[in-house]
Parts: sequence; C-alpha cells; structure tokens
Amino acid sequence: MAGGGLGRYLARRGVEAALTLFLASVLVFAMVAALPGDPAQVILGDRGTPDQLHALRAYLGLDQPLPVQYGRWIARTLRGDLGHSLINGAPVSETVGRALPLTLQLSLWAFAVVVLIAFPAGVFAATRARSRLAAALRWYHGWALAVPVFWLGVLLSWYFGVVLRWLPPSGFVSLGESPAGWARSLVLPGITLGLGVGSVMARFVEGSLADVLSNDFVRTARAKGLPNRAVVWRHALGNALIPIVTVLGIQAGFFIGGAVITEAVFAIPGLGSMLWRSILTRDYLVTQSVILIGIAAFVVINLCTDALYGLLDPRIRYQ
Amino acid sequence: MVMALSSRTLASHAAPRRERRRSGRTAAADPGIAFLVVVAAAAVAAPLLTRYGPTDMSKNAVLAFPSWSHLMGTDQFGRDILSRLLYGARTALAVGVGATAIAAVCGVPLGLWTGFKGGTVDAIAMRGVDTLMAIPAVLLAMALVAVAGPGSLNVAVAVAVVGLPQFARIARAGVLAHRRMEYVEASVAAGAHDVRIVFRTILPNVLSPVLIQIPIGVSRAILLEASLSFLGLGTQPPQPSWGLMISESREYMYAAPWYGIFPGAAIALTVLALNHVADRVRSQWRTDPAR
Repeated sequence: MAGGGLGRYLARRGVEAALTLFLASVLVFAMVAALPGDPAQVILGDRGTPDQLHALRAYLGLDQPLPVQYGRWIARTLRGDLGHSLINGAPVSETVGRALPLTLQLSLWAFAVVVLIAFPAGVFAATRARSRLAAALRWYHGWALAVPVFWLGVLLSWYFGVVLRWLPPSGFVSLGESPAGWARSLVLPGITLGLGVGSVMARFVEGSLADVLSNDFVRTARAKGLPNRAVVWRHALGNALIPIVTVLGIQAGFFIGGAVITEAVFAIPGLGSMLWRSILTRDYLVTQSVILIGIAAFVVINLCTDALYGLLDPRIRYQ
Repeated sequence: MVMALSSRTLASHAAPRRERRRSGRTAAADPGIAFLVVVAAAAVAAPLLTRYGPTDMSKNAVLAFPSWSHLMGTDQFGRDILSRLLYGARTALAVGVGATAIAAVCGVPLGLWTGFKGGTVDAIAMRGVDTLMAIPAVLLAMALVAVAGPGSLNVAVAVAVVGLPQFARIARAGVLAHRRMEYVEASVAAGAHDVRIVFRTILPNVLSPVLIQIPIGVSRAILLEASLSFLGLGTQPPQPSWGLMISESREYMYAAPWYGIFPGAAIALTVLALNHVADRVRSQWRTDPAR
C-alpha cells in the first residue's frame, strides 16, 4: 500500500525529470545550432580543411531540418557517441570516461566536508542557540557564503601549498598511483568546494532542527527521561532531515558549478577542467557534451533527493 | 510553524527582534548599507580617488609592497592595485546591478502575467523557467558565454538569464496568492483591463518578495561575474575586474600575496554586505504584518 504510493510518487517525479531533461537537452542542442552562419564552419574555425568541413557537416546533419538534427544528435548521445574533439581528435566519450571519476572523487571529498560542517555546527547552534559559540558560527557562515570559491581555492593553495608546504598546491594523484598522495591532493580542493555549501547546509540544519525541537513529541521524549543526546540525534534530527534533504538537492547546482571552478584552480583534470578548456579553445562539441552531463547529473541528483524525501516522509507519497 | 522554520532558517543571523525594530528606521546606521554606499561612491568617484589609471604601467614599481605612493601595492606590470580595485568595482557593480535589473524587468512581468492568465501560456512559460532552473548557474552562464564569446557585456547578459527564472517564479507565486483575493476581484468586476489589474492592482501588493530578491540577485551576479572573469571567460585584460585580478595574481602569490588578497576581500565584503542587506530587508518584511 505504502509502496504503491511511493511508486506513484516516484513515477510522477521521474516523468517530470525526464521532461525537464528533454527540454534542457533542446537548449544544449540549440547552443550549437544557434551558432551564426554555418555551424560547421564556426566550429572548425580556421582549423579545418574543406574535407573536414564536409565531414563535420554530414556528421551534424546540417542539410537536415532542425528536429531531425536534434533527433540524430540525441540518439548518438544516448548511445554514448559524443563526437570527437576538434583540438586533439580524441573521442569525447573516452575523455569523459577518464575525467568523470576525478570529478566524482572530488565531489565525494567535498561532500564529506559539507557533512562534517553542516551537522556538528547546525546541531550545536540549534541546541545551544544562545551560546557565544553559536553566535560565532552564524557570523562564520555569513563569511563562508560571501567568499568566492575560486578565491578560497587560491588562498588555500597559496598558504598550505606554497607557504607552509603541507599539501600539494595543485595537481592530482590517482588512487592507484599512491593512496596517500591521492588523499593529500584532494584535501584542499575538497575544502574549497565543500566549505560554502557546508555553511548553507549548517544554517538549514540549525533552522530545521530548532523548529523540530519545539514540537510536543520532543517534550514528551524529554519528559520520559531520554538523555538529551538521544532526543536530539535520534528523535529530532530524523524529522529535521526532511527539509534538509530537499535543500541538499537544490545546493547540488552550486556544487556542480563550484566543482568546475575548483578543478580549474587546482588543475584537476576532471570534467570541470574539460569544460573550461573546451570553452577557451572553442571546442563546441566538447562543451556541449559536458554541459549536458552536468545538467543530467543535477536532474538525477534532484530526482534522488525527491525519492529520499518520499522515503523519509510518508505524507509526501499521498499528495 | 512553517513560517517559524523559514524565517529562522533564512535569516538565522539576523539581529534579535527588539534591536532590529529600533534600528529599523535608520538605514544609514546599517553597516551593510553603509559599506555598499561607500563601494558605489568609490566606483563612481574612482578617477578622483587615485592618481593612477587602472591600466597605467610603471617599470620602476613592479609587484611593489603597499606603500604611501601605492596604498595596495602594484601588480606585475607596475599597475596600481588600488586603482584597478576601484575601477574593478565599476565592472562588478555595473554587471551585478545591470544583470539583476534586466532579470527583474523581464522576469517579474513574465511571472505576473503568466501567473494571472494561467492555462497553457502559464504552463509553457513555467516549463521554460523550470528548465532554466534545472541548469546549474555556472554551467548556464558558461554555455551562454561559449556561444556569445567572452566579455563584460556578454557576461552581464548571461548572468541576467541565470537570474531571470528566480524573479519570474517569485512574481508568479505572489500573483497566485493574490489572484482570488477580493480586492482583485473587485477590480475585475469594475471592468479594469488585465494589464491594469496585473501591474497597478496586484504588483504593488506582491512587491516585497521581489524586493528581497534584488540584493540576493546582485550578490549572486557579482560572484558569477567574478567567477567567469577568473576563468578568463568574462572581463578581458587589460580591463580591471576583481575576478580577473585574482586570476592574474596567482602566479605572483608567493612574491606578492597582497595582489590576490585585496580584490578577493573586495568581493567577499561586497557580497557579505549585500547578503546582510537581504537578510535585513527580509526580517523587516516579516515583522511587518501589513504586506
């Protein structure tokens, strides 16, 4: 019964997500189709020979009507054929395959930073709202939200990497090469990416938890003699999680954008660096692919948080 | 309860209520507003405040430590950092305010009108808005700049496109809440034209959430412009931009850390002040029941 409710809820969300993704993919397609004049000519610039120009025109299907072009493009993309880079001729899907794990590893580290900031700071500020430390935390969050990701990255890389020499100032070491080097290479980027979102989330944890703590059931739990820790972490936080999860999905957008900037600052050859370089070199097909992947990731993350939301709160399923 | 949650969540570091009400009447006493006024004045009066042009180079003072002749030191070309910071404030504020103005001027009427009309128009417009919101801001801005090419103006347009959906959503939410209210129905019954109802009758009553969005929009726009310029996709050298200055300072951070610290501090303080103003406006609207 409840499973059916959840299933229907997820199915509706899934259809919405698919529609959004479809429309966004049309926009991403339009990005190249809207290039002024002959897109193939613009894409190649002065790099190509007439033969290459012909080949690219045929590949993009420029003699076909736009809907057909879109259909061919999306069909290719779904098959995993993202075309070839115009700079080095490598298949884009292969480059993505190499870059994606790095971005995921960076995100994992940054997410750990977010959780390590958000829960301790948020729970503390909600339970000891009047303490001096809670006030200091709120002041700190204001700053953490105002400091641009790239500046934080530059400062951390300079201070801990160049002045103190504790950690590598930039670059990436793969896990297989050296696990310790891998961990060290991701500490500063993880903090850079996670710090701001950590503060946003800490504020929400605080607000949501403070709200739940004023409920009757919390008073009941206290009245029956449960220790404070059990009341807060088991009874209250579980309920407070529901709005927090939704905000996490929205914050994923900042996270994805921040990852692009963080990778650029620390020279991590992930998807973000790939996107950045492709724009600077006008490698449009690469730009198009990476942006589509970023959007898909954002939509899927939000679908997952919706699912989690439905699991956490039975009321949602019956709307 | 929901109200309590959102106000506490969103304005968690706002001042206690009594103090807020007392200081509420004197906007000039607010440190955030005061700082923004100083930044805006400094941007406008930049030529009067410094002897150096933002692109004037000096071979004798390259990467000079801050001194009386160069209060914030000089960069790798011997350009005065203070001067570049002041002229960079022009870029930041022009893009921040300009982009937010475009976003509000396009987004608010769109949200108001489609929300009021409802039906297919509304459904289509909101699908479009949702789609734009499904694209992470930095990616959307980068995609637009990739097509249009780098530069301050293109960045401003890109940042405006990023901000537009928020304004449309907020305005639409306001209209939906007011559409069935008696004063609106009275206006309909009196035979007022739709345009008049939407813009003269409803708009003034749903303006407060739109106004709160303005400082938030400007702060996000400034961060986005700085980020794009940092990546080399925004303001192009030798034009001064805070993000660009930080990007250029990276090579010299070891020898001249002040070069990267001043522009970053300028961004952080400006954004902090804008966020503070947003929190303040928000908490004032909440304590004011007559909205």
